[in-house]
Amino acid sequence: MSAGPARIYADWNATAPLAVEVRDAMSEALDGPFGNPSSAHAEGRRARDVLSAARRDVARWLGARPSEVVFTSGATEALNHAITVLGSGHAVATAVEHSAVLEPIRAMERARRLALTLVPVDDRGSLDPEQVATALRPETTLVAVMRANNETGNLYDTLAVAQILRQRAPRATLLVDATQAVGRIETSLDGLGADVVAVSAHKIGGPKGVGALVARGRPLDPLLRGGLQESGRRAGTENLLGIVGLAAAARLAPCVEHLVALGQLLRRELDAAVPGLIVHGEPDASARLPQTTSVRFPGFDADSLLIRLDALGVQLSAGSACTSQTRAPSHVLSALGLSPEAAFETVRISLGRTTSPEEVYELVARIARAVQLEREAVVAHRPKSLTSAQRSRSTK
Amino acid sequence: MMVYLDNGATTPPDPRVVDAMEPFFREDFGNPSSAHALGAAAARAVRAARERLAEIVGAEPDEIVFTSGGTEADNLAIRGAALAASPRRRHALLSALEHPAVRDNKSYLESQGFTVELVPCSKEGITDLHALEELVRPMETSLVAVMHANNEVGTIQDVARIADYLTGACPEAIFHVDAVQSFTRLPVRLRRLGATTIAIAAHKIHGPKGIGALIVKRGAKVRPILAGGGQERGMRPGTENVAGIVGFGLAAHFAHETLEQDVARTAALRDRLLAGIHEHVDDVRLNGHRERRLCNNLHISFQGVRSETLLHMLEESLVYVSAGSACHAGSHGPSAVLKAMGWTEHEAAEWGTIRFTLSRMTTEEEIDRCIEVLKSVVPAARSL
Repeated sequence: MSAGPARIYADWNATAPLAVEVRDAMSEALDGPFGNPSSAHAEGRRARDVLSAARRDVARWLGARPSEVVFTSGATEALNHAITVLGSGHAVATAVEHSAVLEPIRAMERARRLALTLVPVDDRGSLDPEQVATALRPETTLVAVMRANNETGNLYDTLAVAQILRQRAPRATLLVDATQAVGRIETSLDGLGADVVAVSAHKIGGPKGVGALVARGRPLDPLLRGGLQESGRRAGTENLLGIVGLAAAARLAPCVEHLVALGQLLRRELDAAVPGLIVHGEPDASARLPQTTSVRFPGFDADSLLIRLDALGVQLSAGSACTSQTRAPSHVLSALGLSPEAAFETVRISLGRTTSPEEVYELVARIARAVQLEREAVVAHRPKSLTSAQRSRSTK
Repeated sequence: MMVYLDNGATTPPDPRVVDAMEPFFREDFGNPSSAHALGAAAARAVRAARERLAEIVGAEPDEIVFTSGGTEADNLAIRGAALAASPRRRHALLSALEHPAVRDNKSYLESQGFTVELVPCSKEGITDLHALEELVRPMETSLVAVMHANNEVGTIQDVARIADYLTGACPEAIFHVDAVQSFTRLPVRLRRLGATTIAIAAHKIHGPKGIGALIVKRGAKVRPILAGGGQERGMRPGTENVAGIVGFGLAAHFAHETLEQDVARTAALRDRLLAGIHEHVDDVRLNGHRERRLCNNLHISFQGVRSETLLHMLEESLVYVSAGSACHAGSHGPSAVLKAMGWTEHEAAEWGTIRFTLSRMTTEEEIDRCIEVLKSVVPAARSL
């Protein structure tokens, strides 16, 4: 490691560092049973006990019954699973859902297994639950509304949607992607009004490669077949170590107040340090994730800023990590009505449990420094500045 | 002393593998899709594991698709092939010996308009090649699945020969080979086996649970079964299980490094176990094929005992084995595999079967202890 500045990680919505408590629980599990939980002998039974304890913890965390929890390889599988086995006929989804919701629905649409109605959001990214009601059809089987958006941090009132569904489409399944909400705001099955909820471990201090699908009052056919694991709802030898990690992450003490304070500090400092910024999403702090800030730097190419920040030891992202390899503007920012230019000038800052106020001050200082460096570089090399900066990106 | 002879269900992780996974639970926690330095470090680790695995299985790195395990890999191969198949090719052949991760997709295939037929096998559990040749429909078959080595009885199929036949008779068919049990116990090379897709898993080779791979030959018509994110070149979206992938790559490396001596040693221990059983226990029979079987598998029936009884008595002496495979613990009657080998209900009631599966970590002491325990436990179980 070079003697550069200490790293500041501000990309928690992409993935979070493993929490110390989680690491300890996993280390302990490594010294515990290695058996296959399906094995009938004592080693298998010990593994099964570990699995049951983890299931109880995850269930309690989400206000569900243990029998309602199905462990998966992550939120992507959980969402694909729910959509594939519960969706048919017609589905409704918000325009800002994660691609792990939109893509499987579109794949089913291509296979003519269902039709999709996208519900728009306004320029702040807010959703009017009545618009969901308008989109419903008699044959609607699936309604997907995420609890918190991964890019803007906007919260969606899934409970209001649930109430609408109860009256107008009681047979439709409400699928809530709670991947970004859990561990950051109070999240329970009842509070969400959801029939089916998907979560992931690695966004909340747990390991990668594990998540859960929580389904209430819905028989859940398996997506992956070939074994009776997870009560026949998900075949495959359980990722025991990962599941232990997910359960440990679920047991972490809530840190909502800390995140709220960090978010407020960040926005205040950022406004003061870099004038002219435009923060996207819901302005009402109670209607967004406290630790997510989607911010546009007018006149600055986000990718160039990120490269400078990376060199300054700051890790954050332009949109979501999942789309960082593509050159299309984010579908979420487009849904808010942002032009591609505006989207390409947008950076996502996401903080987490172990972020300190000192780090936020330092983060803002480095962002200001990166902006300054970028401004100087643009002035030095491209007198016509901004538009040519954008052109250089489009030819990349 | 604990005697673990259920390595077909899962294997104890190699401590070196666990150590190598550590950093990815600490400082190297990045998301490989992130553009920044932490993301790049994670992406490099995934790439290195992919290259390592590719070399071992004689494939190109872009032919490796990481999955959450063997079950997902099998599901991806079967359903992915069905999704890509043309409407005129709606015929699939599965060997009667397939693992449930393949076989249980029969109803899925049928829901997609497929006619699915099972290829029978001999009493020894060897897939009947003549029957397979009869069943192939050159203009209609789009999928043939024959597992490399069976998880219960350990028989090894002549996969390369089937591949040869298919190349001539039905080149359009995808040939899927489940190599979850054979990987690092037999050479598993993509082009030598002639497979289109091969499923493998880490936790059967002293790696972590929750990670596996489908090897997909370039140009193969297989579509993803999960959508939403471009990971694994679109074949398998979802944030990569970086630590698991690193562990898998290394587990394969260690297993491959000493494959020949491990196989010889494991086979010798297995033969010692078999000889010991024959010497000390009456009325037993070995199921499956005598020679064409995995180096670590012994599938034995004991007359006049229920396998559950024997299993529990062995367990009381800290000898851990399985009745069939871990996947069907709790179900009754002969397993689908034994049925395919011609077992009747009556036979299954009369002969209690036990699967002993060894690993490279199995010791001579464990084998001798197992024989000693069987010596007293089998007569005791018979006198119940």
